[in-house]
Amino acid sequence: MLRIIVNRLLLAIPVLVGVTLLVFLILHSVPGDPVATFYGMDLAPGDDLEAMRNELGLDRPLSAQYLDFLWQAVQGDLGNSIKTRRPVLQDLSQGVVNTAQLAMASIFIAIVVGMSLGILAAYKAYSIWDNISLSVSLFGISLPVFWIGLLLIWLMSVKLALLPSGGKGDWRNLILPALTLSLASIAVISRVTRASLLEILNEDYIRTARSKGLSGLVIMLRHTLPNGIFPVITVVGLQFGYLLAGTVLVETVFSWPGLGRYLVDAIKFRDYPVVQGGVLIVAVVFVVINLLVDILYYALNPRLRTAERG
Amino acid sequence: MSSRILEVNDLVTRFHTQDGTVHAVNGVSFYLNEGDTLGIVGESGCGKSVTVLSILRLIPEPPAEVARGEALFDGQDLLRFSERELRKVRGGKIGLIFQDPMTSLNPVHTIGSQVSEVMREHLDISREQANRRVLELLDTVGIPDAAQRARDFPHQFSGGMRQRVMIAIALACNPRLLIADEPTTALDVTIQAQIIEQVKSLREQFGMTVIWITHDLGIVAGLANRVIVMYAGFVVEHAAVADLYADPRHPYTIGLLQSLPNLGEDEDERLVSIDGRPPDMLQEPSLCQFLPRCRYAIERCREELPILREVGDGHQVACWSDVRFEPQGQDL
Repeated sequence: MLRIIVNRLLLAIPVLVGVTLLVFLILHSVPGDPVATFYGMDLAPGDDLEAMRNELGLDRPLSAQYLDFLWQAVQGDLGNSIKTRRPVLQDLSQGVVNTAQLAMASIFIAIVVGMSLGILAAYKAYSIWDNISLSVSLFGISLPVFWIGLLLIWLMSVKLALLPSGGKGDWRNLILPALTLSLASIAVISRVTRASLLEILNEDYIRTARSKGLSGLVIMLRHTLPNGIFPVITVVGLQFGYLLAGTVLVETVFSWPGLGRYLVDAIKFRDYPVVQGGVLIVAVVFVVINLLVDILYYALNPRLRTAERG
Repeated sequence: MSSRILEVNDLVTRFHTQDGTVHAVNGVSFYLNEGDTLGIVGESGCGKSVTVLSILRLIPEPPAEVARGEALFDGQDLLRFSERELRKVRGGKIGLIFQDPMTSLNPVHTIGSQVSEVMREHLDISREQANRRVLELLDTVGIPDAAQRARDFPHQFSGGMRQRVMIAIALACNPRLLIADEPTTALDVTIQAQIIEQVKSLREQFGMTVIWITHDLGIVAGLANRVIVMYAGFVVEHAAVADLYADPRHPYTIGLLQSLPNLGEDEDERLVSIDGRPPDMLQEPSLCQFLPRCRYAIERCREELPILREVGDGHQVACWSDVRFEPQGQDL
């Protein structure tokens, strides 16, 4: 068990280095830099852009800048924002918390609704319920997030006045953005759940379960689901990554003060340290989630569990 | 005269597939008395498994369809039962063992829980009582160190041991009838013999009635008291086991017996095989399905479908041609 965790963490290192390097290179190959963006508008005559670049260390070779960033990041320091001049970690922390809240709520909804739809579709395969489940999935996966978001605001906030249209407040503010964000994942999770369960339902041990006189529901929940859950876990882990990416749009539509919106702003202003720090945080979260997925796999599969005991 | 426990009449099962309708079981009838061991013999795909699985509705519907017939179990027609009523029979009054023990147990549950589950479903007993009985059962079916093994998972058992677990599950609720669907086909020969001995001794112990499906005539000879031979979804011959081997009356049965190797015979003698191939089950049968391969066919065979007719005491055959076969002192 421990070996697997250590193994995964070691594997995460090249992933994280790769991600930061890629982001770093892309950022620096985009035309424009923070100095031009921030100070470009109201330059007093005689202001020396080069001096400012020099002050920020932007005139040094790229390799030196990257290694510096890496070295500081390893020590837990993501540098200072060029725009606000505050430490990046401090600036990002609130956004990270808000986004985490949104993503957690979304993945929770996606797992509960998606798996329920998938189980229903497999349990009543080729029936009207199966088709309803399929329709919901197609709906969820086909419609763009921002459009559904606006539609929900129009319906729930404007017409019915049930829920706030955006901003950060109590739990009610979370419902609409979380729901919007979860739709695509609901679709994917329900489809994978259905396919996986239908495959398991053909297994010999399901026939054994039926020959014991168990009810369909018991067979589904006790015999089929525990075996069919593995592909679902994998997909949930991957979906969490897509959710983090999807928050950018949803946060914009619902004015949710999360990491995504913050990052988009930072990209606009070429606030290098903020972008790099933000992406690094997202990448770390992604790696950790996938580590959790692996651990869950291990914990749920008796063949792996008992193999270690001897 | 022992009492009739199961009587199947004119059972028809079809599979509606993309290629057309497969006529898997075409009007099969047989019966079973208390204490009988009935062997159902036939080659792969002849409908022997589908027949018994149809009785308990354990085949996937759709694509399968149990189109006709009745299956009287203690006088009640199982084919008219609701799913809820059938569930009480499955595992409770009729226990089943399947062909492949490697895939017949659920990999994520312990052996113990898979055995106790069936008792918790059918018997009114507490968890503790069930667990105690699990250990008894595992012991009975010959699994050593039951207390320890009950906590193990299927992958920690060998094929033979897994089949013993399946037997324990099938016997857990003291069923009146045990259906064994090729339970030893996937096992190697020594394990096969052990499992058969085990079932024999359990049969004495519990006074069980057994249906044993196999394609191995040798197994049937040692285990069953009556045999039905199936071909292409039909019962072609039905006889007491001694009669079948001494006086087979259907050309297919004769072919099967001729294709068996005989210990102690002239080693140069070649085994006889049955020419041709089994028929295409997509055609609705209108004549004897064995006709294209039959050496004894007469004119009537090309005109109408043979029905099972009595040719001796409890010996039935579905053949127009009056075939007799002189076994050369075969001792099975």
